[in-house]
Amino acid sequence: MAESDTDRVWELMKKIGICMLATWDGRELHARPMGAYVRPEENAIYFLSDARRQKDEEIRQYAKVCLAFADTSKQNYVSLAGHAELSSDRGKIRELWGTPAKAWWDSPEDPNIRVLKVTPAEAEFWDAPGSTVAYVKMAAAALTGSRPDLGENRKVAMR
Amino acid sequence: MFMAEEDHLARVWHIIAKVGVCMLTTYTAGGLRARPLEARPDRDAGLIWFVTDLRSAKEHEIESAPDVGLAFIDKSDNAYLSITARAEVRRDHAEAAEIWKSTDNLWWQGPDDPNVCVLRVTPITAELWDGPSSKAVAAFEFAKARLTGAEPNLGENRKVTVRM
Repeated sequence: MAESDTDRVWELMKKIGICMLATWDGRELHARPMGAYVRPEENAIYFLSDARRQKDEEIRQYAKVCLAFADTSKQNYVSLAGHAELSSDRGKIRELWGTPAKAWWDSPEDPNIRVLKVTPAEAEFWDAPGSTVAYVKMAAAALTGSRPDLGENRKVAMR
Repeated sequence: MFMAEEDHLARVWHIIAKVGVCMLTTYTAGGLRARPLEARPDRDAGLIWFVTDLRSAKEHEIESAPDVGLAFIDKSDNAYLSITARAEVRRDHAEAAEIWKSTDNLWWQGPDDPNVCVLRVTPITAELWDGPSSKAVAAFEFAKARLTGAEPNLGENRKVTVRM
């Protein structure tokens, strides 16, 4: 059988790399581009974030976030809803540390760095706007080793 | 490299027109959701229109929470545009006819199709991460620029960290 829809979601997120992370402040939606560290084996998407930014506060108030990945030239789109958690896990920060992060902080020991971990709840992807969508329940497959429930969840986008 | 404020606004509308398809994000009781939709900007009116289908969930989501987000991503230019906006669902076939494109006929039987509705989206704030390093962000208020004809407010310009 071809790769599962879940695999495809992870693969698209990895390939596109940068997403718009949307948060809800109780009144309005805000989004900003963030470089995603996509780790299917941990059932998580990580971001390095700065404690001085507004989004940290929004996430504390409302942890349900949305990651929007888009590559319009290839017509690939992913919307992933998940639960966000902020931490100062220094080990994780060191592990994710690399060239992109150096543009923002001098060292992984900078006390302003936070790890934002997003655990997926559900995802949808499109291979063209308005085309067939696969709706994927991102049940913790990585944790249990079982396949997520894909069942009859394929549906057609109604635009 | 800072452009004049007017140029920022022009750049925002340029990106909207060039990228075309945005991720429209809505708030629902269960969380946030996004989906790709083709934007039809009307710069003179300061509005962005969408043709959509009454059978999709987002109309209900928008009617109960009209504050939406639009994300336009231009990977080739490394430009990221986030717009905070208010959306209104309008079951107006005359409006649909005005923004109708021939490609819409793939999905509906013309603008009078009973499943067709339009979203009228009024942008409020735009944040733009633009260019190779995307370090400078221009945040400003559409309304001010539109109503007063004055320069949009760049005073609260934030430098935004973009992790590349």
